[in-house]
Order: sequence, then C-alpha cells, then structure tokens
Amino acid sequence: MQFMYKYRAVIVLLLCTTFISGCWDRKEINDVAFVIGIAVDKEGENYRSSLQIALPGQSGSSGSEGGGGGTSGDKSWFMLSNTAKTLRGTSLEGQKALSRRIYYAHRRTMLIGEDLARDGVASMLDLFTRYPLNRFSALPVVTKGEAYAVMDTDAPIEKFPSEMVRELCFLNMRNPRSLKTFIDAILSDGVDPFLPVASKVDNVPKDWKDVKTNIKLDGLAVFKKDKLVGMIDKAPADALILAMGEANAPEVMVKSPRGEGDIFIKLNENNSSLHPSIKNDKVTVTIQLYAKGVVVDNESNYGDLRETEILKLNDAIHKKIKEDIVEGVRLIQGKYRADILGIGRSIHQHLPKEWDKMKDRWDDIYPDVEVNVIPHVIIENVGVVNKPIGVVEEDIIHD
Amino acid sequence: MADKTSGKDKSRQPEREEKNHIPLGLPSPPFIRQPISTIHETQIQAVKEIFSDCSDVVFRNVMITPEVKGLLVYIEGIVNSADIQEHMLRPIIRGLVQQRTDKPDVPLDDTTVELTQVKRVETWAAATEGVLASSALLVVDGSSEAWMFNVKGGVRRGVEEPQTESVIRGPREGFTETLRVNTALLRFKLKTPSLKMVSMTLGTETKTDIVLTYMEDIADPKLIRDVKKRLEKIKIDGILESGYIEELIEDHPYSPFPQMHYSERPDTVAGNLLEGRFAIMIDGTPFALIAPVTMWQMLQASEDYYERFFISNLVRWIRFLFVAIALFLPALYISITTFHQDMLPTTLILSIAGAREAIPFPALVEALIMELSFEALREAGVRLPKTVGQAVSILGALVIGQAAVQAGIVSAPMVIIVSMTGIASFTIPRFNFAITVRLLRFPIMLLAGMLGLYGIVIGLVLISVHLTQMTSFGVPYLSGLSPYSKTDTKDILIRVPWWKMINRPSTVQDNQKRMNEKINGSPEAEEGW
Repeated sequence: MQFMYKYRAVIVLLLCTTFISGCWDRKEINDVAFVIGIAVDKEGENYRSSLQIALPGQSGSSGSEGGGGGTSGDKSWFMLSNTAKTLRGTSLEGQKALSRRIYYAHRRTMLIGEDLARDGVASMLDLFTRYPLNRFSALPVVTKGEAYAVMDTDAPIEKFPSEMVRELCFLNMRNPRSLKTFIDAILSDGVDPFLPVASKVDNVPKDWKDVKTNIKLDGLAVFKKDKLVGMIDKAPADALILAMGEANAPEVMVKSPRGEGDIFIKLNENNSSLHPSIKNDKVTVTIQLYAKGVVVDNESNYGDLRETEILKLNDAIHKKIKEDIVEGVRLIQGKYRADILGIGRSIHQHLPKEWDKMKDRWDDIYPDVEVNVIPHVIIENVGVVNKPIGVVEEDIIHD
Repeated sequence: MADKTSGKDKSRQPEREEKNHIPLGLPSPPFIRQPISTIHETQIQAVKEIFSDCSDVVFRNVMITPEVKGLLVYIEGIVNSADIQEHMLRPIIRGLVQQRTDKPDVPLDDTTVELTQVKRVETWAAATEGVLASSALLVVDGSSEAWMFNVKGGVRRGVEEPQTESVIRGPREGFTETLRVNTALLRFKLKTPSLKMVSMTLGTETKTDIVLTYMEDIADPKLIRDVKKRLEKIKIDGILESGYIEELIEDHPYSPFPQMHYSERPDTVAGNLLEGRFAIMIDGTPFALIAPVTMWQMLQASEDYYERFFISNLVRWIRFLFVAIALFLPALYISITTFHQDMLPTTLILSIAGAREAIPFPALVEALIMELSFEALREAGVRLPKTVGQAVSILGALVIGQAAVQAGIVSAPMVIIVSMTGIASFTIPRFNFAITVRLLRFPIMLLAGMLGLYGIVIGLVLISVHLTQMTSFGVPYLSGLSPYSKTDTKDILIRVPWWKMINRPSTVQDNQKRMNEKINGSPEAEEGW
C-alpha cells in the first residue's frame, strides 16, 4: 500500500514505542479483585488489615443471571483479613489467599482503628500515598474500637459498608477530610488534623427481631500530629465544624426567648473566618461566623415571629452558637491541646512576622489563646406559617 | 464523442476513432471501418453483418420514392416505436405521395420528418453507435450518407423520492437512471447559461454517456481542466455506475476515506455547484459524483441548510459527537475495562464486572464477536429482499440482544456498547463515509485491546496524519480547519445562518460573493403593525 510505504518510518517508530514503553498492563476485569474499603488495626506489634472486596457476581446485576447464581450468602462483598509486620505485608499475605489480583484503585474509604490511631498513623500512611493506584482522595475515618468490626456491619442501605461511610462523610462535612487534607494537616504548622469518628450501632433495639448492624458517624477524632489524642462528642463536634465553616446546612436548636419549648433553625449558608490579633504578647483570635437561617420547626408557644420577635430569636441563636463553639474550643484547647481549627495557621497567614517569633513555642501558647466568637446569623425565612400552628391564639406568648 | 461529430470535425474523425475506440474485446466486423457505400445491396449486407445474431434489431424496408429504396434499422425496446410510426414513417409515406411528381432525386431533408435531432452520418461506425444509442438509422439507396433519427424511448423509471437521502423538509425529487432527466432536473434548479454540461462517452462497450457539470463563473477553471483530463484518461470497457469513475479519478486510491461524494438529490448537486464544485452525472445511475470534498461535507446533510440554523447546529454537533462514538466507543470500552479500571466510577465498574463475571472471553474478543455479528446482520439486512429482511432483524435482536447474554457468551454492557455504536454509525449522513468509520473501528479496537488508551491515541494520530495529508482534487481534506481559513469555518463546526453566509468557500477564486450584505432582519416595521 502506498500509504504504508510513504509512512513506513513513522509506523516503525510508533511500533517501537509500543514495545519499549513497557505499557503492557492489561488485566481483564474478571482477574481483578476490587478493594472497596480497608480497615487497619493494630494487633500487638503487627498490623491487621481487613480488605473489603467486592463480589461482582453477587451484586445482583442482571447480566450475571445466567452465570450460575450466588451460593455463598447474600453479601456482595467479603472480608479478607491478615496480619503482618507492615501494612504492605498484610496485603501480600492477603494476595496468597486470593485468586484475583488485589486492585486498590477503587478504595475510597479507610477505617483506622482507635488503638492504631493512638499509636500514630504516620508510618502506615506512606503506603496509601506512594503508589498511584492508591488514591489520595480516599476518606480516612477513625473508628471507635476495632476498625474491622465497624467495616463488617450490615449497613443494609448501601451495597458496601465502606460506601456507607463515604456517603456519611459527605453528609457530615462540606469538604470531607480526604487523605490529602489529612496528611496536609499533619505536615502543616499551626494546624492539627482531625477525622470523623465512625462506630457500629444497631438499627433497632438489640432484643427486637431482625437486628441489623449499621454504621454511625458521630464526633470528631482529634489528632496531635499523627497521634490520636481524643474524641469529641457529636454536639461540640458539630459546633466546631460550624466554626470551621464546613458544616452542611446544620440545624441549631434554640430555646425560645420567652415561653416554653425549643425552636430549630437551619443555617443554609454558612461561612467563617479567623481573625487573629496580638497585643502585649496576648494572642486573641476572633471567629467571625456568617450564616443565613431558616426557621424549620417551632415547638414552643412563642410568638408569631414578627420583626421584633425574629430579632429576639436572632439574639438567641447568636448566644447559642457562641456558647456551643466556645465549649468546643475549650475542649480542644484545654483538654486535648490540639489546634484543629487552624488558629496557628491563621496567625501565620495574617501576621507572618509574629508567627515567626512564636512558632516554636506555639504548643505552649495555644492553650492560652483567647478565642472570641462573633456569629452573624440572619434569619431570612420563618417558614410557611409564622404562628405555631397547633397552638390557639390565646396561648401564644408574644413579645 | 462520435455521434456529435458532424461537418467540420470530419477531418479529426478517423483519427479519434482509432485512438478512442480501440476495441478491447473481439475484433469488430470489417464493415464497421468502412464508409457507407452507395449501393443498396451492399448497404443491406453491411447492416445485416454488423448486427448479425442481434435478434432485437429490427430491419425494415422503406420506400422513399418509387425509385428510391431505403432500410430502416433500430433496436426494439430502446426506441419509442410510436415516434417511428407517427413522426417518421408517416411523413415519409405522405411525402412519397406528394413527391411522385416532384423532384424524385431528393428523397428526404430535415423538414420532411417531424422529429427533432435528425442528423446525417457517413461511416458505419457512427451509424452503429447511433443505433446502439437508441436512434433509428435510415440508409438510402444511392446515398453515402445515412440518416439518424433520435427516437429515444424505452421504459425508464420516473422521478421519485431518493431512497438513500431522505429528508423531512426539502425537495422530494431525486435523480433517475436517465441522464437527460437528471440534467433537466438540475437545469430546473439553476437557470443560468453559466451552468455548463460537458458530455463525454466512456467505456468501449457500454458507451456510457456522462456529463461533467459545473458553474463556469464559479468553479476554478484549473479544477475543471484537471478533471477533464482525468476523465479523458479513462480507458475501460464499461462504466456501469458512478463508483467506477470515482475509483478511476480519485487522488488517493489507497485511502479508506471517500474523496468524492455522491448524491441522488438535484438540490444537493446544485448547492455544491454553487460552491464551486463540479458534478459528474452518469447515464444509468441516479448517483451524481461531487468533488472536491472535505471531510466536513461528509457530515453535512442537505437538510442542514433547510432547517433553522440553531437546529442545524445542534444536529450537526450531535453528528460530530456520534462520529466519535462510532469510531471510538468499543475501543474505549475495551481499553477501560482491560487496562484502566480505575477510570470508571466504582459502582459502574462493579456492575460491569458483575455482568462480565461469567463471560469466558477477554473483552476484545467479546467486542469483536459482537461487532462482527452486528456488521453481518446489517449486511444481511441490506442484501436480502425486504420481505425476508424483517426476519433478519428479529433474529438479530433475539440472538444478539438476549440469547447471547443469557447464555453467558457476551455481557449486557457490551450489547449496549455495540448498539450505541451501530446507532452512532447510522447518524452519519454519507453512507460511504459511514462505511469508512465502521471499517476503521476494527483496527482501533485491536489497538485498544493491545495497548489500551495508548493504542487508541496511536490510532487517532495515524488517522489524523492521514487525513491532514489527503487531498480531494487538490483541495486538502480537512480544509477549513487545516489549513485554517477563518471564513470557511462558517460552515464546518457550526452552520451560520444564511444571512451570514455572504461568501462562497475560499476554494472559489472569483465571484466569491453569494449574496448582498445586510439583508438579515425584517425591514423597519411599518405603521400600523
């Protein structure tokens, strides 16, 4: 062919690249074991890694109907758990008992056992970041107790428990902590890392029929460098997330300014910023929180939410948010001494010269930093009705 | 050429005869090389010998005057018998009665018969050619000139809607197998003397009339000279369809890409002529060849220019997208599932993996099986009679669509991919381009199966290199984008509204303006609106 003759040099060159590039990494999809999630624990001196491996044949897709059907239970995944001295060693051990190549590119969550986290995670994180197959965007989560126990739940609403963890992370925060942000926080000055905490719960009371185990995300695990120093409960954790401006439309419960009962206000848009100032070696940080609120529930007998009443309510929610955040900050500042809000980083950014002077002593300074919270919440909308709908007019308390 | 010869071309005649009509097959009978004799017996003998064993040739003795005998020769079936009877024989006989007393030595002249296109020929070669081209031949005793009467007839198809290029909006008329009907259809659209139609006869045995048509003041004269030269170089025994000519005159015979496009639609041909291209119409086929073309034209349908430009643009982009799909989708599927499993979302890759769990073949083999059976089904559907064709599609849908999946031979996602590809290849308006895309899909699939995305890129690079160096009658195949011409982009990736298409494509050298500027929009609204 004329074309071939004309371009034989080009063709030969191109063919050369196919042989010298070493690109031959073909693997059929049936020869690959997709790891969906991993749970890492400490067992004595060893690591225990539990891989959650998807069983595509069990996943109930219509194409596999003719393929002989599943006989090994109804779970669409199975767990491969191994111990070894290093984390990499555990997956090598696991490969020995697996006919398909372990494939990590689809691992999107990573559960870290509480004990391991307390011992420090730095050394094992290398495995998750060095090889391109391991994704930087995987979401690390600390578990209460053993990580594999949390991963081995039923979590019936999703196909895989690790998928459930992932979805929960996205519900929990606007930008969930990925491996990238986590490691970034470990390595940065003036900020300490934190991760969400997952734990295993039952969906119905234990002695009720058809108990299924489920996963719950509550609280934050606070790290000092790469070591877990403590866990914060749900309520202060939510306040801290709000203070970071990362909350996903949180709802705040406020006691009604007068009368009996509580009012829920949903903060649809929220944002925050840190403003440090230094006077006479005394570090003060102001957290400015901006949010727009909607009244979603009024279970009190308070008012028909006229302008004066809304302003009262505004004051109430300011007070409540301030209290919550101050409480959360007191916890991380006093109890754990971990700067997960990134107060040090804000000084670094706003007052770099001052930061240079104090960065070596930051650990000592941090617990004494004075934190002010100034919330700016505007209640924009009171909902479809403005009076409590089930309360007769005479019983409503007005301002 | 020969039947056009008369009067002043006489000196060139024998030479051209020798040059152009060297028989490729059996030697012709000796009489054919001789001039027509004046002796009637010899004339009869010559005609009978030339047309020996031709049972469809009719010989009929005619008395022109009582003294002058004549022989009428024509081929039954390709002439209009009524014409011969009404307009030729009857006047002659009537003339015979009148001429009994008149000048008996002048048997006939142009005014005697009522037919148009009457001419005299002097050689048997020209006479034979005329008879074969549906004329009636009258040889007259004592005259070395024979008369040819054009009584073309016979059963031909009427003007119908073209089958291959149907439109929702647009003219419904299509070319037929009759050349003169086709030229007339074109002349209806372009009522200007600058529409030229150059006749040629190609094929030593078929003597196929072809017409090269172009707009004299628009088309590049160099281009027309070039194509005339290429056409004259053709020496072949027969031209039965436009495809013969296409292969004989195109620039890159080894390229899979078509370098001329064909159309059954007079409006398409007219539109192309107005953009400075030429068309070749061939007797016996409804397809006219149009060149030079660019690849972009292959993705344009005539309806693009009749619908509102927003719609045309959207449809055109969809077509571009689907050309890419038709070319690359199976290859992408193969490479992603066998090389780059990390590129798909987890849930998607798991459902693909689930569907492929029981499949014994690698993805490449699976894709080849499916693509080949799809191509086979399509081919069978085209070749089979319409009544059986339906059975094929039902069988195909059952076999490919369901049974193969249930039997665990191919996976359901692959069926989706193949159907998608099949539909995508049907969106390409030019059938010859669609075939090319379908053909190129297979090497790209193989490359993808061997090298993954890297292989697809290699395939893409090779195709691009090939396309950029290709020309169609001297015009670069990608012209408009490569070489880039700002004015030509108005009709490539987008179709600008007609009131913006002020100039013809830049391949047109002179007479570039096709309309006045500033004609868009409504006139100032009048009082009272």
